[in-house]
Amino acid sequence: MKFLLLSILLIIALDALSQSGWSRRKNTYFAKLAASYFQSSDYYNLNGEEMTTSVFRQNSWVFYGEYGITDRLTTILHAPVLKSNGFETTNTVYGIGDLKVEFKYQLFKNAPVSISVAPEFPTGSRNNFATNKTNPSENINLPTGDGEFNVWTTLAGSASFHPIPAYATISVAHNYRTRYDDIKFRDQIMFSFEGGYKLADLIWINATIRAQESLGKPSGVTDFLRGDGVAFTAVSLGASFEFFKGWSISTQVWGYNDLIFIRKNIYSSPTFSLGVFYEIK
Amino acid sequence: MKNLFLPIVMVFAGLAACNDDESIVTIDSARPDGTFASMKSGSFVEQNGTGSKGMVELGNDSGGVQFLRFGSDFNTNLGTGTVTVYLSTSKDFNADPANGNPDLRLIGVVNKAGEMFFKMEPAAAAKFTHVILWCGSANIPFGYAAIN
Repeated sequence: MKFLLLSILLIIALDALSQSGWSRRKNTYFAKLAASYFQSSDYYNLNGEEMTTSVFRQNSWVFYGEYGITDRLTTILHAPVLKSNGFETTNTVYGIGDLKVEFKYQLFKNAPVSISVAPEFPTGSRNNFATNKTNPSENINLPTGDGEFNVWTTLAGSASFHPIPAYATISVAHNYRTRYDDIKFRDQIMFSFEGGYKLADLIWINATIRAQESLGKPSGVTDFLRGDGVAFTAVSLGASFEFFKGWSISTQVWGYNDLIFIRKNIYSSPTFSLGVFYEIK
Repeated sequence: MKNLFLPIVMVFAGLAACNDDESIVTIDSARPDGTFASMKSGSFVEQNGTGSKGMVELGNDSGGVQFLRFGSDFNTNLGTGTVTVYLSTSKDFNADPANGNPDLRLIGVVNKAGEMFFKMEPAAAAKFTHVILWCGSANIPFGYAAIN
């Protein structure tokens, strides 16, 4: 039971934490609407032990926007506008997710190194009970928000390989977590490396490896969807294609492994996302 | 009117006097009546990192009604809802719905830690040797206890 919640949060986090050292130019913006799909029966518990459960499914629709307040200060909005959670053994529950507002500042005028602070507010449904189909007296809480206020702080540096149409970004992030009811969530740390290349001056492709670990010891047993104690190593491949002036479609697939940090408190299976975005550069 | 009030006042006064004299006993049929005598007992063994623990007992109350009792030290992972309690002929959850689940008996659900009672009507068959904590939504065990 304690595992579910995590995966939902994970889908969102992976999409939202696409950090870079660059900030947007003043009065330019980027807006994206993406849908993600995930299902898995492979759960890794808090001890890192794999177990097979009934199939858990999660869908989410996320709006992601960036706006250049100044040439060096960018504000970023991450709004999960609709999420659904359910086991194959239960009904599906719906709700909005937790809203995150990020402020990214490019530290040096001519060097793409940035620091960002991103408070995340518990706007999602902190309790959302699904009912077992065969035993209606049994229910399981599948919240669409983790029920706590937390703050991601990220330091990122990027490099352009111009005139080669390629880039690389490395980042490290810390998630300061607070409480849900009487349980103090553990802080988290995340490392990420991303590289991208533009094929035939037409399609951007990218690859990312990301590793997350929780810090400290648990203060209590929580469900998996709130993300306490979550650890993983994730890799992704993605592509985007501009089909009309400023309009692009993008797709991304994430997979999980134990390469850097072993998987804990997480459902593990590929996550697929498809999005449409518009950008004024 | 004075003649009408007087009998009414007397009736109420009489009822109040009766109430003062009577002692009303409310019996909670979900809990043992009188003393609970343990016949079998065991302790939960945690499964799948769920933190399940605590004593479980099968016994009778003073009226001979059978109850399953979870001790005050009972706990499991209830962070995401309820956990279902079964009696089983082994520590494993062997569902066989096509044949009426002969190796299982559904007892009820738990949604809180600490002491609780489950009234057993009818009394449990002797073949049941274990209590299982089962998450039916994820289809995984949270723990078991051998009772003997």
